[in-house]
Amino acid sequence: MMHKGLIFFCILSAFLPGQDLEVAELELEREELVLPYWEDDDLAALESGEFVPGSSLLGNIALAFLVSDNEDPIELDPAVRNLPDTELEEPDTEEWATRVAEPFLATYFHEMPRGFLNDPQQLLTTQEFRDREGFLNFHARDTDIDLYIYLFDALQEIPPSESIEEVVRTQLAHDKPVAVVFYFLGKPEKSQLAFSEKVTSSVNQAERVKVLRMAMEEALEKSDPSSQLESFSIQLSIRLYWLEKVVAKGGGPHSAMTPLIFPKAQVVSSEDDGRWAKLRKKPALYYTIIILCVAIPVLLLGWLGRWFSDRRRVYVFPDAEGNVLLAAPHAPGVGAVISFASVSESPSSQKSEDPSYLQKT
Amino acid sequence: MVHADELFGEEDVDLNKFTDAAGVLRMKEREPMRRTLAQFEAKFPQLFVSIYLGAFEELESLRQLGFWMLNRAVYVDVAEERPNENGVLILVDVNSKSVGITYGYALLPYLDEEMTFAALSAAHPSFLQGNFLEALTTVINRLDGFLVKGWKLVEKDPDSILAASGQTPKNASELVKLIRESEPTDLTKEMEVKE
Repeated sequence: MMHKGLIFFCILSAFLPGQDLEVAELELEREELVLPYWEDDDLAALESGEFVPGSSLLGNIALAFLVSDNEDPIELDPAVRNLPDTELEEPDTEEWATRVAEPFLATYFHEMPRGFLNDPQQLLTTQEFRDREGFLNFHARDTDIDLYIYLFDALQEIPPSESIEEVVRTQLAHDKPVAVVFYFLGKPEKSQLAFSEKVTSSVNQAERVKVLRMAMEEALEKSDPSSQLESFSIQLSIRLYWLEKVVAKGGGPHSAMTPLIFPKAQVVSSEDDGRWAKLRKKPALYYTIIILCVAIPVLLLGWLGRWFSDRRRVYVFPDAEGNVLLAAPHAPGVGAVISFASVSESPSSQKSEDPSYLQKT
Repeated sequence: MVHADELFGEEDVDLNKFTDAAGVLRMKEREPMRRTLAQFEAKFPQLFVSIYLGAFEELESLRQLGFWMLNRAVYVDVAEERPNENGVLILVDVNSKSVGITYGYALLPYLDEEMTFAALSAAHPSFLQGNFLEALTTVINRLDGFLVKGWKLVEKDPDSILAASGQTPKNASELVKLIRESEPTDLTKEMEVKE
């Protein structure tokens, strides 16, 4: 108390002028002198045992029990014991978790999305939101089918009066290929996917479901909700890229037998379908080209290998002996001689045919 | 040989396998020339090629000089396991503008007049232009090709290839010689007794 008074005094002294300061000092001294004290009646009741300190907290039953000589343990009245513990009762979390709060309904279902990632309940952290939105922006720049993701909490349910198809129909452009996802953070398997008419007219229902299923499977490989969303959006972006090619082709009707989710190699080959299809109609030419494509490199490699081995090869002739000619110890003196004096004459015409020295011997 | 000795001398002469007495190759061309000769020797460990570039005055026969040179030359930079009968001499007379090839006995089964003419003909344009390095390299490469072909033939049928040029495999002739010089076997003795 003294300490607080001093602090108060210091604060006051900083703001008050000189004479007011003296008044404040007197007030402080008076306040310090007032101490608690027993009234005479209360002191007499305390000393006689009539007054028990803290009895007002115990209640009359406890007080009566305390002043009596009974040493049995106190038992609660059964009526009191069976009273429901209303304060400890848990709230109905299921009820509030499954419901999308009223203020967010308009943002989700009745307003144009502000970006590709719609998270009015702020289920993601700021950084996570930026990362995911950045990726969706990148996707939008890279592909024609824009991807909008609406985030809901894991247990939340879409109100019966609303639907993803309605959001696509009313809130997003009709003339653009658009994909909208209702994604439930932590429960990717609950996700919903809808496309604008431009896509649905080109891609059948089975393939659209397949796109969503593959994204879900990718997401479920992760355990963290944020990582799940990341995997989901990346996989969906990849699948939409291939769907985009189908849409770009004009969106002819696709049978259930024709897969639209092509493996990469198949998609690449499909681009050259025109040339290959023409070639395949001519089996002789087609197989000749295939054989040549294989044979030429093989032959080339074989020739190269042989060339290298020949270059390193050493040729050893068998030792032989024969008669000495012209009494020459080492060489018989055979071999051609030509002249290169004349530019106009051929080598044959300039060949020396005169081994006269042989005749002389 | 006697006539050649009379003309050029009876004594052996020391030579390098590459001699540019005429001085027609530039200094920077000599090293590639030597390298080509070394490559030939690496490929054919029993053979060698020698080159003589000369400017001869009043030379009666280049062929005769080549014949004499390969028989009388002692190649100081050629290993002993490559005797002159395993050598090829390319002789160039820059004065008379003629070139000839002579080769030793060991190459008789694999080379002939026609092949050596083909080799020289291939190099004829280069000789005409005075590009001796290119010309000589061409000649050696052609000879290389003929020798490889000859090697393949002799590998298949050594007896007939060698016999065509009047030669026999050295091992066979040594065997016959040994049989003739050795003591009669029991079989020959029996035959003699019967007779």
